[in-house]
Amino acid sequence: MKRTIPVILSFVFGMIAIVVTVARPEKIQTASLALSNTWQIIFACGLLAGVLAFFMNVLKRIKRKEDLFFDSVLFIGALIMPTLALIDGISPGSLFMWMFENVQAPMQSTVFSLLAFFVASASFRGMRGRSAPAVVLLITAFIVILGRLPVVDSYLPAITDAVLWIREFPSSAAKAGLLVGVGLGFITTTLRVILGVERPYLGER
Amino acid sequence: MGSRQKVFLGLALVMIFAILGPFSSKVTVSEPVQETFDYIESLDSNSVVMVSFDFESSSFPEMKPLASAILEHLFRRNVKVIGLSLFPEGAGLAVGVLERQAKKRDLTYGEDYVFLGMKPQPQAAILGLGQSIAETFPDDYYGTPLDQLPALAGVTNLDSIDAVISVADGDTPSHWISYGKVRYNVTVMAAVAASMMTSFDAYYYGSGDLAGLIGGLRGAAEYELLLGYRGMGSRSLPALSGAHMYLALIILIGNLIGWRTRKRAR
Repeated sequence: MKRTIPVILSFVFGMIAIVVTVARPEKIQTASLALSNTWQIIFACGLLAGVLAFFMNVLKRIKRKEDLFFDSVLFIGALIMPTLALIDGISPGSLFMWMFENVQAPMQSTVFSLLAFFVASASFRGMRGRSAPAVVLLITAFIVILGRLPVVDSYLPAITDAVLWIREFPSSAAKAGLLVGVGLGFITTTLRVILGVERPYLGER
Repeated sequence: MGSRQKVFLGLALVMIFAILGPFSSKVTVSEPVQETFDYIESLDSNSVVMVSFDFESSSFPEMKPLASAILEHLFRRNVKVIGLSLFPEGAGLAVGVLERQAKKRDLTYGEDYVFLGMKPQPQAAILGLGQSIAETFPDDYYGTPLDQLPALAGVTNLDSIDAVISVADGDTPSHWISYGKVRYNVTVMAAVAASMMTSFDAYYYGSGDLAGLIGGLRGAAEYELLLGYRGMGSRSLPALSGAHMYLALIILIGNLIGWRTRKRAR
């Protein structure tokens, strides 16, 4: 029973989602809205479960004293924002929003901007023409990088045209093939889950 | 100092020099940006546009110029703007951008623009908006019931919206197309991070699913050029160009070093 009920629920709700997606929205408005709301509630519960799992994991690491300083800072840092939210709310002008706008958002942007340095380093080390396909890739990448420069736009419009051609034809063709494959795989996996052939929610394939 | 650290230092110096130096860059306006501009230019004070701020803090330096330029144009055309976000961080960031742009033009919240807040799960949120905005967002971001906001008078669902502009750092515009455009036939435009341009350019813009597309800081600079002012996008161009030129240079240097090493080994 424990294993059968989740499979039945998966099938029923999967079929409801398919019918709601395929049918005309006006005829099944109530069901469509109910499904959207249910989806969002499940997502919110999933987020809550994730947050609780995170805190439990950090507490376990602190107990084991693997990296006490880092884990303690992580735990306290993770508690600050919810504490501020509980004390002062999350409306504009609150302490929570001040911390978000002046501490969290700039820190996240800064960490993400480090990517530029790693891209530069990876380009220096990795983009070498060691074989014929690598040379083709290298020349293409070079043209695309140059084509993004505003000065090239003004004085060498042929490079900009070349970049547009590369984006529109070879790059899009390869990506379209990938997307079709991904889409077919997605449909196959979804059908297998709905029909109970694969049961990832029971911890099995 | 290893080669890696030298590369990092070189990039840092180039960026600092480009940002602090007296440089400016000229751009030519591309077709997707021009089409986005022309579409918004055709709107008027009877139009209602939904702007979805679908980005997170990590890409805010790139998305802010895009969002600011689009809002500036919408507010210049006296279009009613309904802001929302499908990401938690997007809501917090968007409200600041929206308020700042509205303040520049002395606009009144509730009459000229509203901000609905955040709804999780993009697919479910868009499907809900297609059915009923009031059922999906009973209150706005500040807790005011939607029926008390004059800007939303007569706006019931996506059928009442002239266009949706998704300012996104990921693939959220594809959800707006799949669920908003395909099911509810709303016009969708996108302002995306430069890294996402290739995902939307040929497939969605090329096929006509997207009525307009602006990409990255360069796209923001092109839009600012059309609007006739020098904003964050235009001011960031020298740094962007400097970084690109540096990348091209170190790829060349890396290959020269590799070629010399292979020649010596033979």
